[in-house]
Amino acid sequence: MKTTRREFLLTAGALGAATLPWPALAAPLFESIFMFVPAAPGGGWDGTARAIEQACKTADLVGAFQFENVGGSGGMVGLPRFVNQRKAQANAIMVAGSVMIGAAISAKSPIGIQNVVPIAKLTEESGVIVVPNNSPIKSFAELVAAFKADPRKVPVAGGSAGGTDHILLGLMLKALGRNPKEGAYVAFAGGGPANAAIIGGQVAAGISGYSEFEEQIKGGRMRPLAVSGEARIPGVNVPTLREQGMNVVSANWRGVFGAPGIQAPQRAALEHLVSAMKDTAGWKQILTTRRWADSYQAGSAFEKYLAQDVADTVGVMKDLGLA
Amino acid sequence: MAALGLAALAGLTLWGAWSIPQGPGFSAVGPRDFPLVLSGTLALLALAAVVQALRGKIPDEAHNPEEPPLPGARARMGWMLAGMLFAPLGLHLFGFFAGGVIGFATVARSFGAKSWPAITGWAIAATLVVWLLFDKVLTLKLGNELLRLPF
Amino acid sequence: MDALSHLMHGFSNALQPAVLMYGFLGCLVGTLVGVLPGIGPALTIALLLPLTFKAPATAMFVLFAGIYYGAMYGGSTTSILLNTPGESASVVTALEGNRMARRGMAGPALATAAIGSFIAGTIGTIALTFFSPMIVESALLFGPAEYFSLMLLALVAVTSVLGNSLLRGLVSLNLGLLFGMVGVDLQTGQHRFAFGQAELLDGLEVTIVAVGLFAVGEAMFMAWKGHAAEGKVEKISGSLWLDREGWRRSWKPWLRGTFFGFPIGAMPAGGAELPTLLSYYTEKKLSRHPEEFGNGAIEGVAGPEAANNAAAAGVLMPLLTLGIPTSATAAILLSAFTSYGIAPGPLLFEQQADLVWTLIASLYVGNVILLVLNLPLVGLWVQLLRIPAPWLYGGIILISTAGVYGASSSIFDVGMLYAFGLLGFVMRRFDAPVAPMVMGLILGPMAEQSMRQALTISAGDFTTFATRPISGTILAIAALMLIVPRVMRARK
Repeated sequence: MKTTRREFLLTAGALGAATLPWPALAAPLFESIFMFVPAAPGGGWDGTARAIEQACKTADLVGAFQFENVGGSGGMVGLPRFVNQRKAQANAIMVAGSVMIGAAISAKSPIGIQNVVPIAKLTEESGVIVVPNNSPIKSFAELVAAFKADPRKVPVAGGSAGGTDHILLGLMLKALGRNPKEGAYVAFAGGGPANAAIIGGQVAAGISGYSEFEEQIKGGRMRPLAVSGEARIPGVNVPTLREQGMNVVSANWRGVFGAPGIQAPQRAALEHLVSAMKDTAGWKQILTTRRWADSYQAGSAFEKYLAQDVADTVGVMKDLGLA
Repeated sequence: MAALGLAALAGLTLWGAWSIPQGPGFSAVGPRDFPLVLSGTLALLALAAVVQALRGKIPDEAHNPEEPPLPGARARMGWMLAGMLFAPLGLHLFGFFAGGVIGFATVARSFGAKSWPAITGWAIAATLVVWLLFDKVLTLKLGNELLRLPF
Repeated sequence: MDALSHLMHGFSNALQPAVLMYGFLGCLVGTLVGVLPGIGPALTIALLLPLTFKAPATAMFVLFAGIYYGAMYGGSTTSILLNTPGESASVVTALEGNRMARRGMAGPALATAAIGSFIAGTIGTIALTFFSPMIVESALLFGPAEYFSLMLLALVAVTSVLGNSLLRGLVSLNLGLLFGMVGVDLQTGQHRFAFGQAELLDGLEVTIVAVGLFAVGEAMFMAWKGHAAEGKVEKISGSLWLDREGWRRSWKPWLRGTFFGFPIGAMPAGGAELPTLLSYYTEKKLSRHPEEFGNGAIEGVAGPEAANNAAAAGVLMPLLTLGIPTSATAAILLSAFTSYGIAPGPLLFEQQADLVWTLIASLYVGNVILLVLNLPLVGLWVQLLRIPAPWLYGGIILISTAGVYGASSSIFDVGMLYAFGLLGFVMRRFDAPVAPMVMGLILGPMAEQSMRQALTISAGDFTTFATRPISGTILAIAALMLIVPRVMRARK
């Protein structure tokens, strides 16, 4: 108890001290920001949004935040509302990510991520492929062999159908020359039941974001075989798919978007805000505490990334029979 | 009366079965199998109900209720239904306060409150208390402005 | 015993005035959100998450734990008094609880609920303290096939809540199961019964359906009848307290309820509704007064209430020992842990021993606070029934609306609430029970998804349900539950 409190004070002190140079920057960049979260409070997007608020406030970048959470269906309930109600509102931002792309495709929604203005990508998380610790499959090569033999005999647990995890499995099967539809994908609602099914040995393998499995991997209950990002996760000794000869890259990213119809200078102002925010010590502190990988990307680079991601996702979803 | 309810039920079944055709499944039991089985069962149940009704043995509240409703049930239901229609409308157009007051007042009226000043007074007080409790204490979002104008 | 000395240390922290205050505050807020229909602990804790940036971890978790346990206590109150359960785990409580209240026994019903909650919560917390790893390991033996069999068992148990007409009960259950199919199919992503409405893609929210069917439906039915307007609200007679007879009839259901609630709560796909249902079924079968069930049998309140509180304690086990959230609230608690940079899991007890043991100690303390808080409140709650009907039901509708609208800021959800209210009214009018519908809505998707998960795993082999030992055993029990009563009756 005492140590916890002391630790907390130290952290808080460090946060305060590190952000000292910022208040010197006179007036905040924005009087107020309207933050739209197309997910219920408590989830990943909400956490990102609250973290942005926290970083901006400690560094005095923004005067006040107003939040609106509209959850449901991978953001497909909230997104149309943001698009319609916040048209051309210069101080409105929305937190979203790769999940929304797949959700829009499978919902066949006329409104998608192309209807909002990309500001910046902030964080990204690699997927990881694991097997239960006592599994007969010991290496990635053995898993590949099993897939090649008959994907139907290798049940793989992950999140809901058409989500990031399912897409990664589809990409992997496709790379092996199999039909992604053959995958024995077992969808679980939420990380808890999926985790339990894997460590309980109910399925042959599992796919999810690294953080979802991290504790089980550290505790020796799951064996990680490969990660799905461009590069290895810092501090985690697990090779990427590419290193192991499979040309598949995918990551679950989160970023911020502006309202449709904002002018170029208004967009630039938002980009400036986010760029200033990601340089604050407060934000860096949050990235470390929550073990989020910094993948900041803005402007045309982000636009290009987004277009590629949409194209890839559409492709796999079609193969999976979901688009 | 019972036949009316059963007709509605049968309608529901048809509606259920009709809306199933969807999606290819790629496993032993696909996404449409459970809904199909369930609406099939419902159709059977509806059939059984029709048979029972024709035989005239379906004792229920509608036929011989233990406590028959007092006279004026229609007027009371009228107020109730009006409230359920106009409260969301008020909520949507003018914010929580308007919706809350309309909802409370119509329900109170349907429970036999007669004096409009009392109804209005209680409705305003109750809505304010609930708004303070939910929006301010529990920080649920009921709309930051208590009363919103649609323009 | 090592755990014991850790626990003592935890108590020395939890009993510090500042920590105690957070616990008390949490219990108070929790009781409040439990009582209010439409909002539950998951939402409340999610809304308080931003506080994790500002307050120390121990204080926050003690607060959250208080809210969590408090909501489980509070949930029974409106079920019993007004037949309007605030959350799905207290739907079963409403069955007998409200009947008791109508017979003027609101006091004993609330008392047996509060004491049962205390006993179950405390036993659950003791098990959490000493047997976590063991119980979690056994819970992990449950895979999709076992869950499907468990759901079938639950469906057999549902027969105990079907009411006096089998046909109407089955229609209600069947509609509930169908409602459970609405939305995006988890296994294939196909849309079902959504009619192009994005709001329906996530399925029907159990809270909205339950509050609509019970709270709104009940209000409409009472208005239609018009007796309430004549001042004929449930009269309060007799003692506010449990008499000897009440104690005698309650203690076994409390213990049996705990026995159902704790292990099922600890299962990754168990939940708190399933044990309340099983407990109700068991009490009804074992009771020496089976004729009282449906008219306010105290066992039917004591058992399910104990079961849902024990389940609440059970849920914390996989969360703390494995970092696996098994309920909406647990998932929110997990994200609270991560925002402190703490990862619950096998290493938590070593790395954050102080925090964990303070948290566990404060669960004991919270249970005592809640008992002390709730027993005197029984008298106060009962006074609620003295509020004139127009204001009372006006308030219920207002609060239900505010809860649903506040949770989602969605007019669509408010419309759904009223639509289910209307359905609830029609069902009451035609004497069809509403509880099976809520149970169907909860059990349907779980049964369907686990069956299909199991079939994907077994590559389409249906024998998996019978050949897996645990699954086969559960199926056998379910079959016995169906057959034995018939054979017994035939012999007579």
